[in-house]
Amino acid sequence: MNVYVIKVDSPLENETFSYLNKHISKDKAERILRQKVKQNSDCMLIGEILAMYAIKADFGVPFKKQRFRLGEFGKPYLFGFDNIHFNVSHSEEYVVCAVGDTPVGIDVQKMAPYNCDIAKRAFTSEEINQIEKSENKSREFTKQWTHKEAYLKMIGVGFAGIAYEKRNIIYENTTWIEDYCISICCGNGK
Amino acid sequence: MIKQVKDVISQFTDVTMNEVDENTVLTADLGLSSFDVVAIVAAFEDEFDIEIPDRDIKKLITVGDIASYLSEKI
Repeated sequence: MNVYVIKVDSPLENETFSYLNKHISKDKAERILRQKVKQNSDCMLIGEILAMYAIKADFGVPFKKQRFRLGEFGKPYLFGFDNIHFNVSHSEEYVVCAVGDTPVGIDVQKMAPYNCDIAKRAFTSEEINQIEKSENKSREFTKQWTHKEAYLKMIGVGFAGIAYEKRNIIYENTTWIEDYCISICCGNGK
Repeated sequence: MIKQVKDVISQFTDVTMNEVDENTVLTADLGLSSFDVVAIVAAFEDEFDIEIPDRDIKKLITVGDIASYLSEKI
């Protein structure tokens, strides 16, 4: 499994944006154009291109053979290649993509101030205790969030705020780049 | 109600509220992450002193959905 990271610290020029947007699926291109915030549309577009690049680099699938479809709960997958899995996330200046041969979820989140209301909704009491005990609550809170979100994205439901018991994980990891937390979670597909 | 909903949402996005109407989709149009959505739900719970169960969050797709939901709840 590989993780690709891009820092988007300046807006895409219009010409570049239009060029790249022509190379992705029509549906996705339209969704990107609907975005009202330039940084979001840039990151969504770069995420899509990054996934295509990663799939080609790691599995040799040419761009023309790559067709992304949406699963039952909206998780994108590569049509016709059951053994290639990918997942994309973005938060402000960072876009990340994980690719591998098992189901994978990835989440990046800029460090967010500790919020009890969100924590109560998203975490178990054990996880909240861990945050409360931590020297840097915001850092631990953000880490726990991305951890959970990566798992939910791995299983394909992709919506946090709901307590799930984690199962069938074969690998998970968390790292920080600047004040951005990146978590990945790989499952055995069961 | 739409105005109250927009007031809360404006704290979580850089989009100007003139561009937002009842058909605006929180994630697709405003680019809000699931983290933002949960934070917004928590803010509505605070603002209106209500509880929004997890199962209802998935129904809150557009600004109009939130306004109708809140109108029923309060």
